[in-house]
Amino acid sequence: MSAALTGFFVLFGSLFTGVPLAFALGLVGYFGFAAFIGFNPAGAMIAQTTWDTLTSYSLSVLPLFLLMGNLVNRAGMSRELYDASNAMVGHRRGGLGMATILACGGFSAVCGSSLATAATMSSIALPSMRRFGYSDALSTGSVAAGGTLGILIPPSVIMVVYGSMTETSIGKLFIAGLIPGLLGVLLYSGAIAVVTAINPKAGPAGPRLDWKNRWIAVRKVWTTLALFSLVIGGIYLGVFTPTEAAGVGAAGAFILAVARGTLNVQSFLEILMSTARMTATLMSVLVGALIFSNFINVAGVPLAFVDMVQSSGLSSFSVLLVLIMFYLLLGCVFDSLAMILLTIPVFFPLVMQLGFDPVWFGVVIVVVVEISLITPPIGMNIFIIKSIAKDIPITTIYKGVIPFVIADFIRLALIILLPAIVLFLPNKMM
Amino acid sequence: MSELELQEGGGESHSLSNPFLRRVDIFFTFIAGIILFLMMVMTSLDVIGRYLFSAPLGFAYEMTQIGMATMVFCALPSVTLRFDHVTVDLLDNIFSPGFKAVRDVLVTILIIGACLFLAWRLGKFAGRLLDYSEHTSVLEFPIGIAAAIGAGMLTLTAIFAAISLFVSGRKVKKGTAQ
Repeated sequence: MSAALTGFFVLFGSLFTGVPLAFALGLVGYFGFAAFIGFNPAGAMIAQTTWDTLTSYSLSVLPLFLLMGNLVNRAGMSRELYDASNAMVGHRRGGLGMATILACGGFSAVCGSSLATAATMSSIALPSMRRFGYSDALSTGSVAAGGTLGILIPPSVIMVVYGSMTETSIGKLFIAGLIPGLLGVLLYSGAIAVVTAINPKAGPAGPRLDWKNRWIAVRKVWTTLALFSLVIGGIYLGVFTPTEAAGVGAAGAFILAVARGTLNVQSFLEILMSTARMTATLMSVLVGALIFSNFINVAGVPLAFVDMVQSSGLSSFSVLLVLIMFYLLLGCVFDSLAMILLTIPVFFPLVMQLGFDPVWFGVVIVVVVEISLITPPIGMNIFIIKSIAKDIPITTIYKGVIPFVIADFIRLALIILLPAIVLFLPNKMM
Repeated sequence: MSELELQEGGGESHSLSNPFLRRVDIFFTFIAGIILFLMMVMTSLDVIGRYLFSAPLGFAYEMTQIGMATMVFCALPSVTLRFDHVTVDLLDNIFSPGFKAVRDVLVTILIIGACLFLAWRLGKFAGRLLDYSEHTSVLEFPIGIAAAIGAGMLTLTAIFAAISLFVSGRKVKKGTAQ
């Protein structure tokens, strides 16, 4: 245990002085493993881990889903999603905010990253909410919160990472995120309704469209919806593996972008190259994390942890609550990916020992991590919005997200008390 | 921070102002991008073949594995040259520019060392795969070749990172002069 503590100490020290996550994890993992088993086996272990991770079939969903998200964005679908949502709910009080949430939900359905969702939607939704006189707090809050749907509604980068680290079915994790994601859309819209009921000036109603114009706006998004249904429906019905779904989804997005004339050879190559770069970045971190996790395992940390918790006599429910508190605290300093990578090797065996469902726990963790994306001081979504809306003070954004954080806590409580919300769909899969 | 890199178009690093490194960056990332495109086409054809013509490609599974590994290895020099690696920059506002300049050099040296060491171990691993003539089951593609490409790309990454040390050293001086 003392070796592991030293390992964690060195890891955090190097992380905070600016050593890249992948290398800090890998180096500490290598030397820690070597301290227990020897340098030669440790060398063989890192080569084997690198190779196994990079050739993992289940991880190949990552590049293909990233490619799909980038192509969809290029095809201009995010703007259409916003226009369609706006046509439907924009005339209500706070309607533009609700439209933002809806459009974020739609965009998350083809994009696996929270930050990409927040960045894309803030450049589209913020200007129009400000034009209609929305308060800065409500408009930035709804974009920040809506962005977090990106990692819950499938596809989701974080879920792929969780699934590959814990050998949980990525297809089931994706499907399990659907209902909690929709619940998020509902609760966030509810939060906006409450805010605008208390202070109608925060979100005045937009113009009402007649049904003809609504239909025109909605009709434009059918391609996006079709793409999502194809991908997620295919996974759910077992028509294809998540990797195949991602490949087909990327090809579909490619054809759409070509058909709309938004893609030329130059821009397509740029998208391919930037997706390859993102994949390499993510995969290096994963390799590092798995090397580190091998060290944690030979050091006996998960076992010691299980023993400690069992001798403490806490009920499994209170252990779960302690873990969630810990994640929320950790979320103040680390962002989503780093949090999952650092904690899963230690906590996951414990959670399994306590008898929780791995798919359910994955969704709980993602929801908790989502909360950390919009809570100070390190809320990445808040930073993204701040970088786009430079004139809005960050404290205003912090204030704006409060109602959404409350909505998130309600959702977290629902998911914990009623696990069926999460497990109903995946349990029906073949 | 971590998810930031998931957005399109990472940061333009100053080492890319060097024409040689810029070309290296584009060349290898181009190969990685083409592999990604082929993976997309291959997966789609496999699914279409399976359901419409009852004739799947058969090799899609194994070539996806080989393809992803090769793609990631080919994109590594670019990720390193652009400093796209995920870092926790929580305390970066506290550190002085001088400290950060020294830190960046030390981190690059650490990356060079780690890449070279992993290249050596992966090279040994590739040699073993080739010795036992391990190959994929359908196309009988020798797996060791992909691992050897990995060892090669890791070595190149280390070499380019070493070159970038000298290029970025110039930039640091320019930055402080402004």
